[in-house]
Amino acid sequence: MLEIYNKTIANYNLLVYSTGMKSRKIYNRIQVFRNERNLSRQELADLVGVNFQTIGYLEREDYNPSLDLAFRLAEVFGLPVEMVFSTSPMKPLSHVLRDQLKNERD
Amino acid sequence: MNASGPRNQRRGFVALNLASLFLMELLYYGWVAGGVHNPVAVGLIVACLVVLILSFVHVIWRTGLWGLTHTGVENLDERQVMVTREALRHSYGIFVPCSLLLMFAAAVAASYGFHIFDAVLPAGLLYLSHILPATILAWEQKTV
Repeated sequence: MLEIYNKTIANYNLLVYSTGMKSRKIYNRIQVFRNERNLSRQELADLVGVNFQTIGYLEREDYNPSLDLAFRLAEVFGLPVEMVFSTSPMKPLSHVLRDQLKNERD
Repeated sequence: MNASGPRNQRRGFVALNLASLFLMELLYYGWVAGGVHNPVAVGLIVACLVVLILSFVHVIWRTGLWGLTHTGVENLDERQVMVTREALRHSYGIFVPCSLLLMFAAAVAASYGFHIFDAVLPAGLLYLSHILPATILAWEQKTV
């Protein structure tokens, strides 16, 4: 059942890609979180069930993942999906923490 | 990880592969099929065949692109499914008109008494049909 779902997602991505439907660029922090956890691309790829090159494409933001893959990556990092992916350029985590501390002080 | 070097190098090998195939067919139908059996013609065809095999091994076989375009969808992830299907779609769009054009040319040539449709042309087309998706991927993908 899950396999059929995944193929449907892949077909949807294909449809978006082949019909020329303008899809937004999805920004992510995969490389940061992967390095923090000392995972190689291959190890992360094995954990989420994709080819290691797909991790490279995701890190370079050359490929928008399916919703399923995005959730699987967020689950591997143990973080909410919005911490890993965004439709706008992501601030460095140090800036996010700094802003958070500033807000707490104010 | 980039088994076949930079993209420009890969593109060079793809061009070399397709050019050697084209040249081999051209030499065969220009000389050998025309009854010219000199050693230069045969030597050039053999040289083209060697270049064809070497460039195929370097840019299509060793990079895994052959496997990528000839495996079942259950062995691919979502990105690979997407890029291989797109490559197959483009291949179909290139291969079918080329084949039909060649068949048309062969039919026209036959009507003028030049019967050129032997085993070499279909063999070239068979090879082309199998390598086109992989060559498109080698040409377009940033890493393979």
